[in-house]
Amino acid sequence: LSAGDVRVVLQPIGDLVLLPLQGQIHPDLLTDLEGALLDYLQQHGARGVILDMVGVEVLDQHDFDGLRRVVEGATLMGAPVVLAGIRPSVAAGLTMLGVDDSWVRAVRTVEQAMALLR
Amino acid sequence: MKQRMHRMRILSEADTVLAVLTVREMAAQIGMNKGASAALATAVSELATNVVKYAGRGTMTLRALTRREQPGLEAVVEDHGPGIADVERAMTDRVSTGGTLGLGLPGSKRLVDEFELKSTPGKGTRVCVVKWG
Repeated sequence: LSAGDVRVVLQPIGDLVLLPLQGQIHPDLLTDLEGALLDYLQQHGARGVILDMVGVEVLDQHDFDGLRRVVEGATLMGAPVVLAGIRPSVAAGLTMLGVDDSWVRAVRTVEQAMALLR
Repeated sequence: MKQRMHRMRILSEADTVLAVLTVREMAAQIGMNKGASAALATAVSELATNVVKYAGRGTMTLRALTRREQPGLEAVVEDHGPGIADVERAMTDRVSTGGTLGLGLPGSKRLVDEFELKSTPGKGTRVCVVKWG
């Protein structure tokens, strides 16, 4: 899956799915990602999904809202989503933007996310 | 040679991404710290997205600044769109229960050191932000 210069690859790890987000993500990309992920979940199913956020340095409220739709869609298909490795710049930015983060389950590393979902 | 000024058009979501990347690149060139750079880039992302959503097209002008040997960046995001009828309301944090996103202006203001908004209904909007660091 790619949009512009950003590529997202769905990586199955056992019965989990890892999605490493890299570079400057944007709402259109997240809409494509949501479609691809939900298709994957319908075909293969998964115990959970891990969004690896380490490669993301800037996230505005529109991107964050796109992320929320990805998370909610997957959750409705029975695959809870954990966000791993949100950077301090992203966390601080979102806090100052005053976004609603009540839907977020976040851990520091992908390993912690795997432990949480298993 | 450092580039002290950069101007670009904002016509699409791809341009908002490019605007963010341009801020990051120029901030790195002038030696701004990563936190300040990311904060300004987030504010610019909000402002540029507003341009695409509400005005359709606009511009961003970036200018490198120096203050007591501290680097800074000024970003002017402007359009000739519909303008904001009630600026005071747009600058107020709204607790949104319906999940609708506001213009992100109060948040953008918190992310930067200086924030100036001029908007004339029917004429357009100009937001000038400065971040030091």
